[in-house]
Amino acid sequence: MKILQAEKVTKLFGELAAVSNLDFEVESGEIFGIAGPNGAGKTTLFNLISGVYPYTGDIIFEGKSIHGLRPFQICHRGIARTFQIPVLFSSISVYDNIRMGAHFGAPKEKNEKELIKEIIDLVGLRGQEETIAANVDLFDKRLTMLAAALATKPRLLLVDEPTGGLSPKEVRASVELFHKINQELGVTIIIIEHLMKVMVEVCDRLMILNNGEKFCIGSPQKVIQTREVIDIYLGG
Amino acid sequence: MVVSKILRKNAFMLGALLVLALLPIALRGNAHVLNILSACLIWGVVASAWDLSIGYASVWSFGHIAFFVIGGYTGAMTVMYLGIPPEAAIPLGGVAAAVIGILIALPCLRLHGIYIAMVTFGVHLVLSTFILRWRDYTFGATGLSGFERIQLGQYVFSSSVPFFSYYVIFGVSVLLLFIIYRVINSTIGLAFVGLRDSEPFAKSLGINEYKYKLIVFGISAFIAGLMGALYTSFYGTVSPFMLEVSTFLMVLIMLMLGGLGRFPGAVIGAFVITVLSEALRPLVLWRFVILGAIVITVMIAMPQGLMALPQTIKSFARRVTQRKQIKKDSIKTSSI
Amino acid sequence: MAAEQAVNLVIVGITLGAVYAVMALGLSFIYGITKIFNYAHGAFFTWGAYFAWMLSSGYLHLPYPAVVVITVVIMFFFGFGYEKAFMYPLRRFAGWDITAIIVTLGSALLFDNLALALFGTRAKRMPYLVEGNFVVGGFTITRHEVVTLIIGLAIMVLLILFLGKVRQGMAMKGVAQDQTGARIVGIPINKIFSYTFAIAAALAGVSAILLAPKILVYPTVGWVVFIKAFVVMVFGGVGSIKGTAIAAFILAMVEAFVTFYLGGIWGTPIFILVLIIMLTIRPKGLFGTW
Repeated sequence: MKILQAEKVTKLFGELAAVSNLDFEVESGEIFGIAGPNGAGKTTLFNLISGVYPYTGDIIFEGKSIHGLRPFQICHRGIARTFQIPVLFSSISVYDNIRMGAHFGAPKEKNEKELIKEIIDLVGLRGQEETIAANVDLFDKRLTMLAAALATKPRLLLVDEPTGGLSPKEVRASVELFHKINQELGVTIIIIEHLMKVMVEVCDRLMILNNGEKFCIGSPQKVIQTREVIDIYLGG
Repeated sequence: MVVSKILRKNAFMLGALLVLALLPIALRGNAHVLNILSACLIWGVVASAWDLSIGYASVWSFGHIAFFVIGGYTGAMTVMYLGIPPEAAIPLGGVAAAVIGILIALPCLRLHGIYIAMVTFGVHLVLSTFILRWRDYTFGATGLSGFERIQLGQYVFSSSVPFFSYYVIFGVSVLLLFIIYRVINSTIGLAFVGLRDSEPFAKSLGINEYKYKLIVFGISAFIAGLMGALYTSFYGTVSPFMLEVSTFLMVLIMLMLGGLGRFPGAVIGAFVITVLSEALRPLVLWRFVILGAIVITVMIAMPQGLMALPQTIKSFARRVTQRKQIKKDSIKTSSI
Repeated sequence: MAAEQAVNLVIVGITLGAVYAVMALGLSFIYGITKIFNYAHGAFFTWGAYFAWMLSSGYLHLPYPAVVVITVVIMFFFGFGYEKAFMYPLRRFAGWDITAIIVTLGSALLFDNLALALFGTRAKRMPYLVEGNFVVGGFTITRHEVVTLIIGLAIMVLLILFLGKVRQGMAMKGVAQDQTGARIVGIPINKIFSYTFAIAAALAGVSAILLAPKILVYPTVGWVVFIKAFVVMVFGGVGSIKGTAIAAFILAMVEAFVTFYLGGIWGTPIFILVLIIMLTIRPKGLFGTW
């Protein structure tokens, strides 16, 4: 079953086509990777899916178009996201950051406290709840952001470059966490990532974007051995 | 045990309330000081309502003095022309300001920072035009006076009956400050802080930013307008004079001095500035010059405001010890 | 008759537009380059007007070219000193952009009331730059208006050249686009900030000299001009000299006609209305770049 379908999605910034005539589909339950050189339109695509910018074409989530919806409505449909730079609510506690997601993103949830507790345990932030978000380290900031997104009880999670600036050990923990979110919570994940090693370990399928266009799509092992993909990455 | 915990946590606020409740008894007969205290309370509430918008939601509305004046005129005019009892006219002032506030919020929904500031400040500047234009009802630059005041038995709510009036203002102020406090600590307040700290993230977590912008304009304009009507009733007069830029600046300065988003900082700022302004009154025209200079000096010395004074002192001490090692200036910008 | 009136209004609009453009460019300069929104810019205008008044009809009765030059020089150092004394010390702390708002507002309070304390509430009259009229084909144009337009246009050309060709101007543009980047390539940010304020204050001084003879000088005169300059800045787009000029002329023209048909007090409301409409339709302005 398809959870997300993009049909002829195009986003122009002035003359520049950040995303151009893009078609792809994401299967329910998979981890779908998006890679490509800088400026390929990966983050822009996330911004389009989550309703930050207007665009032409259509994006269909669970059989219904989400074109033209505002970000908070898209969240309520069941899509959550994280950001490349940890854009937390820095003046409040880690717990309140997660509560923000639970309260506003999952308004039908009866047992908010229980939900938050489960997510804190899942991502491994126990003991940090009362710390002000500005004061936790980068990894915990990423986890807090992820936890807040999960607290909205999404069925699709968009993760933007989750490992930038992390130590190898933290990268490994992140990989495990994504598997856990995918399997235990049954959340479909779309992930943007630079580290190909992570992509190979995490993704079921991988799409390469270049200049806002779909370059190729397939199993990560196959994709990264494609000659042209290597060329793109080397700037050929 | 729960009670003692609440007491300890809010010791400062409760102590301040107690002092404010008992002070008039100690001051009995000193009409001048009582009226200054009343003014402190009124401005404290106005500045706190404003803080909800600027400090908590980071919605840079510069229209709050306009809301205050709209409340004042509504209070006076409904009493004068519609014969509404003065005690009912005061909340009506709040309602009128809230309606106007929400109308002004509409074009501001998609705007940020200085753009909201200037649209709302534009409304402030334009308001006097309308007041002067409809002089048949507003009496133009002279303003309104001589309308009926609140009366409770033998007591009249007026600056010439300071003891009784102080307690009326005290009661209303405490109530409104409590409402502000509850809003800050509610999920509405949480949404405000979310949109302030990181709007894109807040929106992606399901917060409808338009809704909360309307809410913050509505609540803070309501409180400002209600206080405007109360103020008008207390002094028995309202005129476009209230829209002078210096009034606007003074209240904004109270808020900033107390510290943005640091309830009850704005109230403390209001007390400091009102008392200071009163103390400088003999200087006549030089009063605002000195005040401006003080504000600039204070902000340069402690940019976080009075509520952050303990932290500022600590970090200052740390800097002094580090100064010998590093000397550099830092520029960090965000988009305001 | 009607045609004559219309032409006169267009002339009024054009000259007013030149003044607003000069004022708005200063505001836009500061905001675009330093990201500080200078709420004291109206006070800059007021003080420029008072300096010019003191040098001319107030006390010294100097010849007008001298008044212009001295006022501009004074305002240049005024702006420079303002930045050094009030803005520079704020940048020690993170979050200084918020503090800068209150300090510029506090400065406005200080400067406005300093003017009030020193000069009183009574409005001061300023003489025209040049007296007399030109009569062209039945239409009368005051010489002051012609000079205003020439100075306004000259300033725009000079600014375009300055930003495009002169080293310091190009550095300013760099800072406007990317502060961190500019610092990394060795542009002295603190110096740029000071000079930006200096130039902007000088521009406020020029617009004061041009406008004051027509609107009188009083302690809060700057606020009205300030809000109009802001609308012009938004309308034209921050950082676009061309956009600012076009916006200034359009808005001033609208103001001239509205004032004529509805009365002077509607001048400011019409600006606010335009501001709201503009921000709803196209928040970046006509030619926003920075």
